[in-house]
Amino acid sequence: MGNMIVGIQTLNGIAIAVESPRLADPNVTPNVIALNQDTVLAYHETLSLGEHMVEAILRPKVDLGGDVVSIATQADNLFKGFVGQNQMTGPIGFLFFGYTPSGQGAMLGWFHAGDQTRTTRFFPFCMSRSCSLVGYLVKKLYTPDISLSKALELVAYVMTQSRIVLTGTTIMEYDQFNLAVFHPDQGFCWLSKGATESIVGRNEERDRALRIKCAELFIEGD
Amino acid sequence: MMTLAMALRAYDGLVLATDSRATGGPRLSVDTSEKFLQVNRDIGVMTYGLAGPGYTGISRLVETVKSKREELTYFRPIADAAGGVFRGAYNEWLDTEKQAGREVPPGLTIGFILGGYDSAANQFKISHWESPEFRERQFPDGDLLAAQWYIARFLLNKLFYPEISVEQLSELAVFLLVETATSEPTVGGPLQLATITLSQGFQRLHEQDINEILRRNQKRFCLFRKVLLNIFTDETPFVASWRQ
Repeated sequence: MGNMIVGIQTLNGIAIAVESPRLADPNVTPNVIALNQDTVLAYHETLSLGEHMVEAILRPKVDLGGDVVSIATQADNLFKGFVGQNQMTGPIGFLFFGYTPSGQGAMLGWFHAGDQTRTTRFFPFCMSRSCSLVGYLVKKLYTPDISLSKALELVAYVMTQSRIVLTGTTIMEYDQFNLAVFHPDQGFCWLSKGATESIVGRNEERDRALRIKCAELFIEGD
Repeated sequence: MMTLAMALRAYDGLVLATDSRATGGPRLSVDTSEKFLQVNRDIGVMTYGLAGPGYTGISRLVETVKSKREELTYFRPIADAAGGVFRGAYNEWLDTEKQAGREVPPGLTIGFILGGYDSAANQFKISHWESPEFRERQFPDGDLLAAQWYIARFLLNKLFYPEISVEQLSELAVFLLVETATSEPTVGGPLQLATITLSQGFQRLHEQDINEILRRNQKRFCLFRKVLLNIFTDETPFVASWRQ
């Protein structure tokens, strides 16, 4: 299984959760890179192939001065050509996060596995791999007026619950769990480890509250 | 992979449950797929994934058990025979597809679940087989969720308790199927449900029984949604530095 990335777009920014090793430099994770001030790229599944495609194709051949939509559109064609010529089976996926000059947020995805390539424009949420639980939880918990701080808590909750379901473990490895915000004016930034732990702690309280409130849903004579 | 198929364990028996949607092929989806059958008084069998060979596999197991009543009475000998029957049904289907010149996409899976009371061991048992190996996996204590199981597992983690009765677990199973169907288009259509208890054996729930459970669950759907929304719209402000 590849690493997981979940993003939610709100009125005042994009909240992003990334499952990835935290490096010594807290502003860098190996599979999330800023292409310019308004565009961030995350790659997932086969990370070494993702890194190669970024360095060999994206950086030298794409005009990185454009906005997120322009960059993703150029990359789409070049990536398709690359996997076709080299008969790459992947799987490899890219998620582009960013803002257009008019301040419009955008999340675009490119995914290739086997002989299938998929390009997607996401709203209001995106995910790196197809797990129906992510869509279910976002559908249940997302409201169009959600604030950026609540969206951060939401992506963290979705990520944690998906990990628990997919891996069967209830242990959150903080070193492999990162949160970031992409603000239309202030750009992209990672949350500190302390802020991330604080959010995960709040979500644990939420989960406990959820269990307590649901404890009587399926009892005799209800 | 399509369908949600479940074998759930209550303190007093098992609940087998699935939807009836079959997807893929020339028609996008149909909701008439028969996905489980009664094998004998105490045992039921379920399938998911490829609808055609799935039905062939479960109906052939029922025929096999009927034709060898003396040998195939208890859970274990039936489970031992089942793997070969399922594999045979799948291989026949593969041969037919190849002869017809149709390519079988690599991701297509078929699975089978056998659940029931083993009177020889005095235990409720769940066993599972999936293509291409068809190796038996046994679930001596826990439950089994197959195919589109992610949402159901999340909900089960929150709503299940080990002391739950078969009656309540049937209602929980319907809840899991409906909640999954709201978000997963390959799950849907009329629900198929059966209970297996010591006193009653295998009992298939009729359509009106399932409709009654759906009616009782209406309040639960609303309450659960409300609880979920409330936990994320609490007023406590989040105060933390986003930067290092």
